[in-house]
Amino acid sequence: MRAYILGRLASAIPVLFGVSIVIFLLMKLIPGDAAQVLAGPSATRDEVELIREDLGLNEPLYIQYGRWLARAMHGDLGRSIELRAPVTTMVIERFKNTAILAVTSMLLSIVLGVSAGVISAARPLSAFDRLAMIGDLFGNSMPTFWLGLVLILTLSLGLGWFPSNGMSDIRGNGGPFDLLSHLALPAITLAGVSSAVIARVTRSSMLEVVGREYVTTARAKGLSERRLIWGHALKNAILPVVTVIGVQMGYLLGGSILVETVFSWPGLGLQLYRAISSRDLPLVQGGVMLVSVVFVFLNLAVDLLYAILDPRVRYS
Amino acid sequence: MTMRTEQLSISRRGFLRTLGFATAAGLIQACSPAAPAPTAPATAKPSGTSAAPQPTAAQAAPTVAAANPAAQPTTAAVATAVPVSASAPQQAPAAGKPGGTLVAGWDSDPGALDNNVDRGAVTRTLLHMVYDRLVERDISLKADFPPFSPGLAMSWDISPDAKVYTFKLRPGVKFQDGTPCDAEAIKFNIDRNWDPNHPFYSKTGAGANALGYKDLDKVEVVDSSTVRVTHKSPFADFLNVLAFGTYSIGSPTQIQKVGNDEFGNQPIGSGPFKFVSRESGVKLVFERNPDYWGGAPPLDGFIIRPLPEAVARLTALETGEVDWVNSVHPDSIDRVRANPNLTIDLAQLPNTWGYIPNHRADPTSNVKVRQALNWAVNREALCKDLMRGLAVPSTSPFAPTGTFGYDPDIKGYGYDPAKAKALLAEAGFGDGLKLHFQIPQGAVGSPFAVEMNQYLQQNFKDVGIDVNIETLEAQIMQTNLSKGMPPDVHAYSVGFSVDEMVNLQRQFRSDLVPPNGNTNPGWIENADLDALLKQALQTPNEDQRKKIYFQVQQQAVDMAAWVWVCHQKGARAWSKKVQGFVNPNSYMFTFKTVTMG
Repeated sequence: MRAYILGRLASAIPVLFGVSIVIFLLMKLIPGDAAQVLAGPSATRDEVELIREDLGLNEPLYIQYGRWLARAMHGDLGRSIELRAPVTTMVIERFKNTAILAVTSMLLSIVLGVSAGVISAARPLSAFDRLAMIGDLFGNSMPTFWLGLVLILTLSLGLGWFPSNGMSDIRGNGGPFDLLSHLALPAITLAGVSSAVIARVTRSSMLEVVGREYVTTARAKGLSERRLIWGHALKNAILPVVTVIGVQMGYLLGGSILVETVFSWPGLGLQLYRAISSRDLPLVQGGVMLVSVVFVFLNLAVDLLYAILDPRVRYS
Repeated sequence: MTMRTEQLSISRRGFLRTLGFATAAGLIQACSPAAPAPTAPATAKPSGTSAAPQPTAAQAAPTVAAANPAAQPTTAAVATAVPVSASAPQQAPAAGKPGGTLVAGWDSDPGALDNNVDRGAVTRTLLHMVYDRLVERDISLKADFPPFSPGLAMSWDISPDAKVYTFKLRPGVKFQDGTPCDAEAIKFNIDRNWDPNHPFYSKTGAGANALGYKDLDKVEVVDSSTVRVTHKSPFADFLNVLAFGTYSIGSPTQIQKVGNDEFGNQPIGSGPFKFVSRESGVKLVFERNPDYWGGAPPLDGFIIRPLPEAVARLTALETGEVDWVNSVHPDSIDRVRANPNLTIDLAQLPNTWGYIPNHRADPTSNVKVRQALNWAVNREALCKDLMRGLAVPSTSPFAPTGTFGYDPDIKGYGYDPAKAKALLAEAGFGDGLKLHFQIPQGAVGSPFAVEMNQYLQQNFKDVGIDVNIETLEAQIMQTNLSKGMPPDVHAYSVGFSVDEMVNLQRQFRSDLVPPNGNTNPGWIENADLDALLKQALQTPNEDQRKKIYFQVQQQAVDMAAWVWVCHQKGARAWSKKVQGFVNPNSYMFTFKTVTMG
């Protein structure tokens, strides 16, 4: 197992290297650069060139990339052009905020999605099953920003139950309850889509398992329905669900830009969007690299989880 | 990698237990107070401070006149009185009690607070609060146009050839770190943005401030309170440029201590508010500068909360999470007006929105086609129906209020589809024509550019002009501006800030077409305009220069240099707890007169 883990980590290095080159080249291909943004719409060519020189953007591409890579190998991802702050510190801080939101909404999604999927599969075509599938269709179809705005208008503005923006009360002292109250609406918004996806996959996987012979045999031998479904069938149906959870988690950790914008949640998605718009290349590269590293570890974690959940799976 | 059967070294329950503990630990760690964000360095309290009385509207304008009695021109220099707007500026409304912290929701996260770098209007507004400039547009007053007022310079002399400017500085001003803001400090700040040999030369600053500093010959310290700036060629508009946010004066001591790269994160100016800290995406914190030369502001401080989404921003204001917002969507104006706990005010922003036609390519190279485009636009309806009053019709380069350069006698364009059709027929397009416009999606020009263009597309269609709209991302549009219009593009949809007449230089000079500039991408090359604009630069007398610029505007209108559509307004709203805020006709504003009731 140890060798497997080390091998996977080693194979991630060329992947990350490739990602860094692709991001660098993509940003260079997009018209416009940070010098033009800083110079503003009234600038002359000479003025833009001066700024471009100051930022090192007039050097050959391989030198620009080489400089960035040499610094990145030492953990220095450069400085944001717009905020002039170290990129490493910025992206880690923002990623932490995104992770809080992502983990919370994923936990919510798992509880809702798996429960709904299991119950639907245990009672196919029942009223609950039909209701769950309608909810699933709704969750898959509706835009997340729309749900977010509806929640703000009803639960924040209308009923005053939750704050509408940010991670903390700007006038308060913070604390866990403050964070939880701010987390509620964005987490519910994100969980709306993820739980729908998880519910659908759980239901399909469970329906396949409950139709197996050993389940029928166990039922015939007098095993309680609850123990049968939750204790045995779910364990055998869980692997595809874990895969989907891993994918959804990766998507959430990449920064859900729409939800972060609606709720002004200071996460990585919103930061990356702004960085791309302002052509802040160091910040884009740093942010995408961090997300890539997270994806690598997440994929590894999902694979290891297979081994934990299914004794038949072993790696070497 | 192979699969084989073996005993697990960790049980499923053990793994899930560990995972649960790890998640809980992570959440608890996230809830704990964050490590303090990098703060501005503690500033040494200067000794012997005295709070100068805050200048009122009545005092601000005559200050320079008092320093230069009767503004008599001398043989060597022209002492310049401060021009004021035609209508008397209003003073700030009666204030509540001092103290308190204002929480402001802004539509974007400000950039680093470098005093000489332009990171957009939102950031420049903060530069106006943290720093001072040699001369100012007084945005603490409600006037048709923020009047010119002395800043760090109390008075100035201008040579008859408009090349030499001698500034007499305000005595006793200190930066927020206690160091003196004297002639050496001014020279340091200017040299830093034009002299490549300066140890703290900033190419980015030089690029951003080239309009004011590129043509400098020398900067001299005459004495500790006098600075002389000499240009190589006449520059009659220099003072107007110096009032711009990126010509702010920062503490040389701080710049030398932290370096160019870090100064924007640890800014020290001499303005009414000091930067305290920033949590990126969460808040920026500012506190009162008790030693501000213009009188310490009543507020203890203010906090900026970035709230990019319009509904969330308005909700935050309505629920009291924030006290003030810098932007209200047109669709929400009526809702805010109906709320008895809120105040909303519309500022006439100094911008002009419209189209720059392609003067080199057919058919827009034909003046009759450009004039037809102007007559086809129903400006009144656009401003009333689509913009809900958040814009006024534009028939010439400057807005009626908010800009120093509006001429009410200019004969501009109205809405006359019949005239438009007649002009098209005269131009040989009686059967109609097809045009291709490129427009930005947001940011450049207007946040509502797409909707406005869709509206106008119908106006053009009504007179037989079939416009194909190509929507581009904001930065791609800006790149296209710097390249100029290719022959297959007939107009760019643009919006420029045009608060000073000096902006006309960039819009209409033929030597600033691409690749030399971004602001004349339509290839406007007219010898008469060039001559007038050159003459304006060499005319130091304000009234005479204004008359020349009026001629420039009328000529531009006659030749339909642009298709002028509207001048937009900015809707700012605040809670009734906020008192003393003056909403100026400017992109900039200040909290230095605000109190929390």
